[in-house]
Amino acid sequence: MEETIFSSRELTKRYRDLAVDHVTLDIRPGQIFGLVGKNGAGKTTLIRMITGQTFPTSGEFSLFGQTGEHNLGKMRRRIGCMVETPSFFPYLTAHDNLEFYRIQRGIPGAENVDRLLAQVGLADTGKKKFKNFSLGMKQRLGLALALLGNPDFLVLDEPINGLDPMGIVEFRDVLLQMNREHGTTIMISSHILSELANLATDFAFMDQGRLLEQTSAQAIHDKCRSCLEIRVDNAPMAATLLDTLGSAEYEVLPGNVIRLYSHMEDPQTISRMLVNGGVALLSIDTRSSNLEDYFLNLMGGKQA
Amino acid sequence: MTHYLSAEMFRTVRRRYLYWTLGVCALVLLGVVSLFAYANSTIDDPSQMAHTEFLFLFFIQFLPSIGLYFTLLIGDMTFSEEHKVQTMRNTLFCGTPRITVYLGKFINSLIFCCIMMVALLAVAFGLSAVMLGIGPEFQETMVSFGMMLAGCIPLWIAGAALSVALYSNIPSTNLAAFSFIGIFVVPTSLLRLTAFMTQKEIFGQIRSLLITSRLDELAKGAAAEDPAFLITCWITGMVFTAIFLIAGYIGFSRKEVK
Repeated sequence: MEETIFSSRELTKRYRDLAVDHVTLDIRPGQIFGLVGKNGAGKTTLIRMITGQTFPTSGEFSLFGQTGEHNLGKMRRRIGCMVETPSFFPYLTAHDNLEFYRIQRGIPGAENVDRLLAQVGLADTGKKKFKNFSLGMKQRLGLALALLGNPDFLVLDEPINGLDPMGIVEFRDVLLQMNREHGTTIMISSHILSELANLATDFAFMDQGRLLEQTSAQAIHDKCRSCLEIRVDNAPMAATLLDTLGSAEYEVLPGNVIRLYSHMEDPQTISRMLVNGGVALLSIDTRSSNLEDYFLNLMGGKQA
Repeated sequence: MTHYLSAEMFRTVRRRYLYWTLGVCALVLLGVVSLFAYANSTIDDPSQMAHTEFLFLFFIQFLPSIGLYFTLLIGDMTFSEEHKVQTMRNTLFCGTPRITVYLGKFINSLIFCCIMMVALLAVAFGLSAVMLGIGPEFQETMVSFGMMLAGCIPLWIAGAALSVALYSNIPSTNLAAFSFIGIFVVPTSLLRLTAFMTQKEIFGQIRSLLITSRLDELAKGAAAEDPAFLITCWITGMVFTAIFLIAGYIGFSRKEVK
């Protein structure tokens, strides 16, 4: 098994401005990798370099451990992609569009096309031409194309735009099934962070072309877990009192703020203990954050 | 390459564009032949009547230039959605080399140019044979027509190469079409003007090397008069094909595909 599926070193793409700025990133086999960033953060440009639509200005990247344009081309045969709104020939049906790409890629077995159409819920589109498809149907066909040939690495850019809630659930199930049953590695960029949180095992956060952080979902979960946020007049004294609880798990933040990760079920007891111990309790709140809060915090509170 | 070509052919034969073009061309041919047939019906002297060879003599005069611009139409047929609805990226995603895409488009254009040309000539021959009949100079005319065709083929291949070079690099199909016409028309006119104004023979000689000049000569029957002229047509055609293909690929190989 390859050590990395995708690996970049100082990868840079410049148009007038830097679209991707010295990005060093590793994606390992089996990961579902969420790429998070605002519009213009460089996610799509990064994906376009992976897919061969554009070329780096400097730096390099490997796919399945291979570098160089010739080898990258060969390795791209193991990739399935869906970048932005899927594009297909408007005058062909869903079946003929997929059949075209099946022939082009030399994938044996015409029955694969029908199987894939059934898998994405487009089995009964018949003679309906692509130009008459709804956005959701187009997204489904885009997913079918990405899955054509059982790729080892799926690269998906905003794949759930336009899908209805049912479609999103089905889409997620297909991806999770591919990941679990075939070990498919997935890179997925999306603005719908709640959906990414349901899927991804790892995350990369980008802003203005730069990679801000690469971390695991577990690490984010640990950082985002629920706590009691206690604001007091004297944090060291409050910490000493919390220590008397024995198993208190907390951290002291600047500004006399304490985050208590244990004993959350009984905030009255905690507040009584602190007040009785001579600490002035300014506020006590239950705090719970998610991926969106984490991202906004990372971006310095700017809107995504 | 075989897979790529098979897919391109799968797609092209499913386009209405192909059948509309064939249909419109066939209707034009029917109109021309009908016109000749009507003219025949007004003539009493059978020796003055237009037969099939008359139509093919007509083709010798006009087909060289029409064929060149026909390659533009086939190029558009091969390329138009790739830019308009951005389907090219689906091909690159799966690692199809750009050289395969580029040469595949070129070969596909040539294949469909041949198919359409053969189909339209068959229609022309069929219609005229039925409506005008075969005259005494048929064999001689067809030899001249064949010679003209033999000279035109390499020049049309160069036209197809330019068409692919432009369509693969210019996102707007209209701009690519205008550029195609400009590249063939402007240098010829400029050289003619320069030769006239400077009275220097060199400009006329350079102009005679251009594809459009060779086609003009073929339309005047140069191939029938001097079979050696065919060799110069093939050299010109192959040189320009190589130039257009290489220049086009240099651009396409580094082009960002949306």
